Amino acid sequence: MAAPATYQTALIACAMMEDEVRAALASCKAEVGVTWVDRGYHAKPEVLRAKLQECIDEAETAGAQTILLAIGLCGNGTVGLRTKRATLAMPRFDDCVNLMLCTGGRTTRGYAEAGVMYLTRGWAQNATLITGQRDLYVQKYGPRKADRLMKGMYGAYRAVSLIDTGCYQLDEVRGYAQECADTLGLPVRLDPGSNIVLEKLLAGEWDDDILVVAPGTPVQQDDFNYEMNN
Amino acid sequence: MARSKEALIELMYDCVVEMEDEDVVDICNEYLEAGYDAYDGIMDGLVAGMNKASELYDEEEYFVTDVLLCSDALYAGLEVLRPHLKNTDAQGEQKKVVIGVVEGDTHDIGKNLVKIMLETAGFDMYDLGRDVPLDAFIEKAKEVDADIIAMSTLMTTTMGGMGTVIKKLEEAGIRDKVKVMIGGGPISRKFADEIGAEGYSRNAVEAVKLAKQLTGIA
Repeated sequence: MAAPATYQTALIACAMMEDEVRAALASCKAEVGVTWVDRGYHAKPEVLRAKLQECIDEAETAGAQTILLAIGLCGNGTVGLRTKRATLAMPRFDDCVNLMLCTGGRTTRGYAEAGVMYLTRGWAQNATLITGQRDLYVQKYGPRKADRLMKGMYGAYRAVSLIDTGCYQLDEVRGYAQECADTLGLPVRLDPGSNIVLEKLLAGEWDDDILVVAPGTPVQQDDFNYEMNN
Repeated sequence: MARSKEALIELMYDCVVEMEDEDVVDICNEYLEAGYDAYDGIMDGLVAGMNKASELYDEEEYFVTDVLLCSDALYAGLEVLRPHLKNTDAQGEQKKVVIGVVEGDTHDIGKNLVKIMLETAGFDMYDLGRDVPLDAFIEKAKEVDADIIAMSTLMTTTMGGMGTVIKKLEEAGIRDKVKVMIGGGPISRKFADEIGAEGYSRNAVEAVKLAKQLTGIA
């Protein structure tokens, strides 16, 4: 759905961060037309790019002058996106996990630790549930190969982490996190997170955490670089 | 009646494509007992099957889990046939490749596949594993006098580490002694050019061709 023409600002947001986006919207004074993009496209960057460009074009046609993306670089799924006349702004982060783990201004490029399975309420609602994964493998490949695949697909994980973005009830997700951890034989931990980046995006406080792209200019991978002397 | 060499090679191919990591062992044993050439079985049966699996993955016919199981079948067959290779079969001429997933990333399915394919092509592989500290690539390359450093990552947050490795190679004074090839989801030829890597490959099949080119074998 295109943003209604009455809104000068259109927000295109990934449903993976629905809780966080809604919280940021609540603290934002401007009226914003919101378009939700299904979660899970991060595994298919080409599809994500096409979907987002379609949303951008629709928002521009509807008259938006500012287009906000609540989505990251996401496996290069946002590389090449461009507007015709509107200003484009988005978090200068590789993905939503890194964005939610950043509790102030960027001090590094990646916040996520290798081998940690990060969860929020949005991620816990994601279609691919780890807990049912072995059963799916058993159905398709039989039990021996299923065990081998669990090791191959998830063997690198050493912890399950709940990111506390302050935008959802942790208790709603603890059970699922524990189930994932039990399935994979891992510990659960809680990591502090924040919603500051999305708040800055919505409030128009565009510092280095926010990538602002001029009309006609494509989003590029290099836009997300972080130099230590920044 | 004994099966022909061609029939057995076709069965090996099918076993890899169809993820039959147990049946492939029997077929390979039958093939050897009949006195057929191990190298032909590997290249025309097992590796050809793995190339087909990679193709099916590129065409989105196969999932990554399918490819993983195909590579198990490939490996199971290789275990049987490889000890019977003649010295003259080794195309890689014992060129040395240090391979690993760069620091910060643990996604190693692609790296493992490239490793198997290069190993099969005759390269000596030094596998540093996943989440590899950047200095480890340089240290290992020096230690074994590597011809190639091969790095992969699936994540955009960690791809910068590949450029750092190249800078470290320069600082160590061995940049001209070793070629660098890279790959993985977010990696492109453009990125390889930007950081000064000699090679980029989209998949494991191309990685073999690339490694041969870079070392002057083909």
